[in-house]
Amino acid sequence: MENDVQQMTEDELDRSIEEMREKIEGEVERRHRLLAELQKIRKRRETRKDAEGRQEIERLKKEIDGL
Amino acid sequence: MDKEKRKPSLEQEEGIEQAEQGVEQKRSLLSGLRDRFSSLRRDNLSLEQQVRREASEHREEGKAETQREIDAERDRRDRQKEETPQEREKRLERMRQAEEQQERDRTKTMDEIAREPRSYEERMREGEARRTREEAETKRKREKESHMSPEEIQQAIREERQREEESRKAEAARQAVDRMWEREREEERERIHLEAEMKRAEEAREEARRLEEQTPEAQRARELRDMEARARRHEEEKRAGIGLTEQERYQRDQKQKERLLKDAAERERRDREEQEFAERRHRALKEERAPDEKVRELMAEKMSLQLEDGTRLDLRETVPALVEALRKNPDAEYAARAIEDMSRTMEKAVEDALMYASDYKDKLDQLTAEFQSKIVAEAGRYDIDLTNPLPEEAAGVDQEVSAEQAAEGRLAAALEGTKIIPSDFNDLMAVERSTEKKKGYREQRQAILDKLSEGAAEDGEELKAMIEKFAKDVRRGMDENFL
Repeated sequence: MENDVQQMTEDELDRSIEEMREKIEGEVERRHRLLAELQKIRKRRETRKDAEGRQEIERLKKEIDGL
Repeated sequence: MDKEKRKPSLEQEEGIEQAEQGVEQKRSLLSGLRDRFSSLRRDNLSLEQQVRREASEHREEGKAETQREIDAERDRRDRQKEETPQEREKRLERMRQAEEQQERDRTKTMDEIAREPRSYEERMREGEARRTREEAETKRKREKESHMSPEEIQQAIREERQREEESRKAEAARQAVDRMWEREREEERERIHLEAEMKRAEEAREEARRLEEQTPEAQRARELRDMEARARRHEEEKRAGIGLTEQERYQRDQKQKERLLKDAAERERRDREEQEFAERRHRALKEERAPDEKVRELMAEKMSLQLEDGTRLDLRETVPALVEALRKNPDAEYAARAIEDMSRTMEKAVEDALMYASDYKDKLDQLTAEFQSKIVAEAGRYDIDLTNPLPEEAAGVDQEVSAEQAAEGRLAAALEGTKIIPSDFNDLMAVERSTEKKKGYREQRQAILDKLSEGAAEDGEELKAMIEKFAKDVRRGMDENFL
């Protein structure tokens, strides 16, 4: 890889740099999307767990009332 | 001239050196960018795996939850035994479809994420076009440079540097703008994300409410409410005559008519009775002004008492004498008052019995019995001869009595400055249960009366102290018995 860079002309270097910048930008965008999705999934799981907790509490309350 | 032209000048050498340095910098920049890209790519792959893993867990949880809901629903239905197998099959099918839809949504999201950035190809094409333009420009410039004199080359290098400087500045400005845009986009994404989260939370709450409403208790309460509402509506409709058959409407009207007639008859009867009562009262009032023989007869009958020895007493004469005799004894004050009150009540009852209906006569008989027994009892208790409640007394006794009465008058005057009045003593004697205390009060009073009878002055030291003590004791006794 290093040899490849060493043998490049200035124009090739410019083109590669530009390409690389584009790719990096793309990866950054992709990273943002992944993070947002992860956050979304975690929120959903949290909400579901909350709901389950509430249901469990209700169930226990009913059990206690029935004693 | 040719030799001079071929040999590079100092400035040209400097330019070449700088160009080589620039190329080196570009190489190191490219290496740095490649490293950065590799690192980002690696991180993103790992992040993507994490997202997939968590999404899969989320799906599994969702499935488990759905299964639980299905089981709970099935149990509930089984318990209630209301659902037919077809209905149950349909409901389960609906739930399966909903789950599949959710699954499709999730997969779609993941596919979108896994795809390469959408703008990547476009950006590559744009970059390619720009590079082609720049290459053509460079080529043209080089061709131009090959015909240039050293001064012109120098000038071109300076211009080039200036352009580069401007370009750098422009790039910095563009990056600043990009950063700003990126921040804004980030904020917008965050806002959309938050809104979506809020919406989901609201949906979860709604779902929880819906599930809660499906519990047997909530259902029973709802059924009860429905039944009450139906009963109310039915009642209202009945009143309004809605939904009644001709026969029912006729019966309802008849009942209403009967009720109205009954009310009118009742009202008429009450009016008639009131009218009769007013007439009787009017007649009675006229008769009161000139009492007839009947009143006198009844009064004589009821206001008389036959003693054991056969003596018949006219209570209209005996009662005043008995009351007077009782009043001579301070302990009998209450009895005297009671007999006076009963006597007045009796007279009124005789008049009422004549004026009003026969049930007053029963009341009158009862009152007569009570009155007569009270008279006999009180006379017996205070040893009074009913045939002669106020026996003729010797003159000396009269004088003694009058002296005592005078002393009592002076005692009453002396008590004016204290917190009690003369009748308080009688009241206290009537209610005090302790005979010892009664005796004490009586002795105190008698001692004061004796002193006064002897002619002692009320403002004398000893008598004053006695009166104050008596007043204080009576007050305390009253407080103890009445409060």
